[in-house]
Amino acid sequence: MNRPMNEHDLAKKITQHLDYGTANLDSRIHYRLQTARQHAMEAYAQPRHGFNLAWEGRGHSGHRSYSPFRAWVPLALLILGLMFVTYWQNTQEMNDVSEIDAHLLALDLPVHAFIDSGFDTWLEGSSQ
Amino acid sequence: MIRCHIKECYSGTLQLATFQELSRFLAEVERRAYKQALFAVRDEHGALDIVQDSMMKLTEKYSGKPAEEFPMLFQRILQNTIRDHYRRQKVRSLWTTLLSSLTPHQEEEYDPLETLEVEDDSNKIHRPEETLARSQVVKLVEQALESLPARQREAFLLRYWEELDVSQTAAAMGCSEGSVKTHCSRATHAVAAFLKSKGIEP
Repeated sequence: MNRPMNEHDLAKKITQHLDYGTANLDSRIHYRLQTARQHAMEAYAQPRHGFNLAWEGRGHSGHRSYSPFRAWVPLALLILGLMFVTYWQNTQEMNDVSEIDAHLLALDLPVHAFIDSGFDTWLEGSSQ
Repeated sequence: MIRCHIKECYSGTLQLATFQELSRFLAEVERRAYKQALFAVRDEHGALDIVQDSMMKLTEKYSGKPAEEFPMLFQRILQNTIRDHYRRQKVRSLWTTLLSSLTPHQEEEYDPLETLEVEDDSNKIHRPEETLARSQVVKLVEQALESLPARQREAFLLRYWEELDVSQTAAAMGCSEGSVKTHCSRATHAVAAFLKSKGIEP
């Protein structure tokens, strides 16, 4: 029964020593921790003026930094990107096809000649 | 959900309080966090980096959470960052051993006694005897904590120093409540035994 009490008392005394050590931390370390905290708080402040302002459409300096839109923006950009790539590929394909068509039409040879098997045989024979 | 968030956003006073609360919370916790990281990695710069990373993660990802959740969230982040540091250090030391045989032994860099002796000397000159004695006990306590297995130290510091309850400690450590109790008990008795061996009653 006494064991947990002893453990808690011991732990309390040990942590008192730790508190003393922490309170007397080197001023250089203290300064670096302070700077780290300031950097962290700057990271908190930045998105408030960027995203919330743009997406929520109202100017207010006291907004939360977290915006639910932030999670959707990369996804939306990805979808838009994929749509653009698909559109670009289709356009490119159509351009290629129309180029071939234009080339075929510009030839002296009639288009039917290309699907005529007799023309192929004649072509092979004449090349030999 | 988005509507709820926006509603919350426009109650300006709540936001302002949260910003200040977060800043105050970090100011309260930063020294202990540094010590925790230092016990784990035994490197001043590494410990400072860990604390800075943890603070950044908290402000970037969880600043919208209620202030009561900060201690628990921060401890989880801190412990994960310490583990990440261990992993990176492991990979780095593997490459160092593979690529170079000229580097000095790492254990020499980690010997806490070397730095302790230097600090003790300066204390002798500038501080009264009582303060010196107290700071020497502190050094021994810190030394004892450093020598504990990582999980025992983690449990002890979260449970007794950060004053999280058993279930919160278990959640932060990702283990069962039973394991937390075992780790805490072993850690406390190990530190007490270490101090006794040095002639100090804790």
